[in-house]
Amino acid sequence: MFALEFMKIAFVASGVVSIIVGLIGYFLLIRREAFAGHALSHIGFAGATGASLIGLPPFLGLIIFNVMAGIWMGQIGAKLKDRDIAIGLILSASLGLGLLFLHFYTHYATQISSLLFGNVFGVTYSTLYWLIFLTCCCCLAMGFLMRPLLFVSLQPDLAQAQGISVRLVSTIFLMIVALVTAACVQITGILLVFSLMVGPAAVALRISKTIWAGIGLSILLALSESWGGLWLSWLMDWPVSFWISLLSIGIYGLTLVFGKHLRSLRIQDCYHT
Amino acid sequence: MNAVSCKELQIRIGSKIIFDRLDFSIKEGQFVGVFGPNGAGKTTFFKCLFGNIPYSHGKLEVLGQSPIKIRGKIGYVPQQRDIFPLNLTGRAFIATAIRGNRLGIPFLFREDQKEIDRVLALVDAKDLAQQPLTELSGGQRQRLLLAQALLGKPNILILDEPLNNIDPKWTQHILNLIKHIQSQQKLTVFLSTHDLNPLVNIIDQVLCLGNKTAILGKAKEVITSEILTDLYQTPMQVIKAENRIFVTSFT
Ligand SMILES: Nc1ncnc2c1ncn2[C@@H]1O[C@H](COP(=O)(O)OP(=O)(O)OP(=O)(O)O)[C@@H](O)[C@H]1O
Ligand SMILES: [Mg+2]
Repeated sequence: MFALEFMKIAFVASGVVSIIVGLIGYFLLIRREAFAGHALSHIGFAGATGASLIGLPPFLGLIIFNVMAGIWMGQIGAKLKDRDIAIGLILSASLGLGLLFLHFYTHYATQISSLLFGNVFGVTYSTLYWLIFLTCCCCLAMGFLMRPLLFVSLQPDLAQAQGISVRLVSTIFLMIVALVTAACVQITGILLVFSLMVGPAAVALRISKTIWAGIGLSILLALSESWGGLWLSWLMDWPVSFWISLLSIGIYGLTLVFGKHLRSLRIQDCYHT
Repeated sequence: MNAVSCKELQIRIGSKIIFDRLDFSIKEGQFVGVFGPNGAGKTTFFKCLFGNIPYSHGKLEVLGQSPIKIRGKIGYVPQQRDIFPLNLTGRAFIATAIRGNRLGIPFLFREDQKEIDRVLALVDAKDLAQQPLTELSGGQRQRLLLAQALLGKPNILILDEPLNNIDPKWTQHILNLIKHIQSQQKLTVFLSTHDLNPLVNIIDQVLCLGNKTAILGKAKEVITSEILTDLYQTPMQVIKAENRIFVTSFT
């Protein structure tokens, strides 16, 4: 299986991306911003198609659009009651814009399909290096941001009382989410980012009792879902993204059913024992 | 030293004046009940104490300094306390407040663990803290929030309506706990409430807020029909009996 060059690249790429996606997904859910994460990946669609139209790499357009949307979402803040409506409207507007760009850009249907549904076997060495670079940057940023982010997410009023700018922390976090969704699109495609970003984290949140156990489990599940997807697709020749989304919902369903028993196992770690 | 002193203090939100010409000072080590109708500005006043809402005129000193400088010395339990129904243990939840205002990865050192143990012991919640938050009652979570506010040994403790939705037995329990901690740690406590009754024998002073002003004094002196009618701007009646104070409105 690993004799094939593209297989090796696919494994490394999805492994690298899964680590950061698992980490970010956990915080997204703790902050109850799953919808924002979902929207961010879709907003990138207009960026990607627009970039292709003017001859730039789609990845670049994706990143630029995502980051801009991330900053905007951070600025409107969680206090806005109609936040989900605003995000949803921007999301559909940007899909509409993407459609318009596609209308002018009639060739390369395969490129669009790989943008929407992912094409991890098509990842080139240069994309791989980009993914590694992005992941390192995001991990580093999270290394700095994690402590205030956790505080702001769980106790916003208290955090504000200690002089933390809740809005600034949220905005920086959403910028990181924007970069990570752009990276995740290379693996799962725009439409299926939710599977890998939210599925593992949701399971982790349900059955872990400490922050570190949750983060660890989320990363581990993201890794096993993406590698599992690659392996199954190698066995059966069905698309990777299909398998990832199937694994994601399957594992989530299992925890809904057996979660009670798993929880009583008391997953803990050295952090709080 | 004065815990809080205001001179000619004016607090505004936007162009709306919430308080005007506040003039009072509160000594350290006092247990102050903060009383007043909805929208009187209890929460606003608290936020001003740790510098989240700047004051527009006059002078405010907390522990002899400007509010922004003493943020670390104030423990705070906010009014909106919908802890998410997370599966985290109480201990993990409390721990997120440790050095939460610094950048970095939230690792805990041995001293941090000791500090968490200390505050949990203070509120008698060591066993409670091992359980997931989803499995705790409102009153039990309240104790954890109190513990969180005590992290880092604050000099001033601000509790914004901590007794809402708590039954009379728990109310007494939590109040005794706060009183005990207050006298043991020599804290200044501000506790806002809509029901002064359970507090009467515990508090040293009442700060009555309303109608853009504040009146400070002993409960028995301040809580009178005339003063409350003035603050609430609706006819109020105060009935005093056997160390108890009942406040009712005529309407
Ligand atoms: N963000 C804001 N913008 C404008 N006005 C505000 C804002 N926050 C509060 N106010 C106003 O300030 C006044 C005081 O509000 P505050 O929340 O401090 O009252 P409170 O005494 O805590 O009331 P409650 O008992 O309901 O908690 C209210 O009249 C409210 O309308
Ligand atoms: Mg209030």
